[in-house]
Amino acid sequence: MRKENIEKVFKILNEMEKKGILKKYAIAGGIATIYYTEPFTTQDIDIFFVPESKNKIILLTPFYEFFSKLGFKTYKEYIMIEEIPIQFIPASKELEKEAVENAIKIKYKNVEIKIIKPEYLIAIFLDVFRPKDREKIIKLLEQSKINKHLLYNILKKYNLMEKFKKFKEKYYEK
Amino acid sequence: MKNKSNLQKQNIEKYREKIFKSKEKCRKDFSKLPFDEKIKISFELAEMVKYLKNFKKVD
Repeated sequence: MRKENIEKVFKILNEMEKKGILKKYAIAGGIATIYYTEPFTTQDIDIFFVPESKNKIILLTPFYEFFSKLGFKTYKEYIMIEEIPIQFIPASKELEKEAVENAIKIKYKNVEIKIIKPEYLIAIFLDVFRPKDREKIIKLLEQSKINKHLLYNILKKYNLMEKFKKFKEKYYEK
Repeated sequence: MKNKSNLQKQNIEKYREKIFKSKEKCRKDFSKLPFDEKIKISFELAEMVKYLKNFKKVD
């Protein structure tokens, strides 16, 4: 992965949005977390998007057509833009959809991109709950400015409050 | 003698605490860097990880 190429990835995202291929999207995962915390290693860029659907069938064909026209290859479940593996994840859960809809706009150099709010990131990581997700929750809780009111509302709405309490008891017991 | 050793242990403990605190401060300072700077560091870390993974165990 080369850092110079990340700007190109973000430009392509904007282009996709302009062309209507990617209507609602937001950067999630490690890269989104890094926006709010200290830098750490991450292997790919995760992008949540609300997919177009026809008769409840998710349509991914426009995506692949767009990328193959540009000559980008796929590797496993990734689309490789330059040397950067990108994972387009359909936001199928209500929590993810809401996170995408409430994403904030930020600027990376001269490119505008959408990024998921830290409160939603915590809820999503809490839902997935792999060891690397737990690490990110800790980083977000300790290093970013969290709107507690918003966080608790999200956790309550998606039945994650109990899990969050147990998580805090485990990692922050004194 | 025992007192001296206890005092030394306490001093070491204090020193360790000081190091941990300064590390935490450093992490918080890093979190305040601009996004493009943080991504740059993240890529450099990934390169470093790749390099370190090349090391092989010597029997």
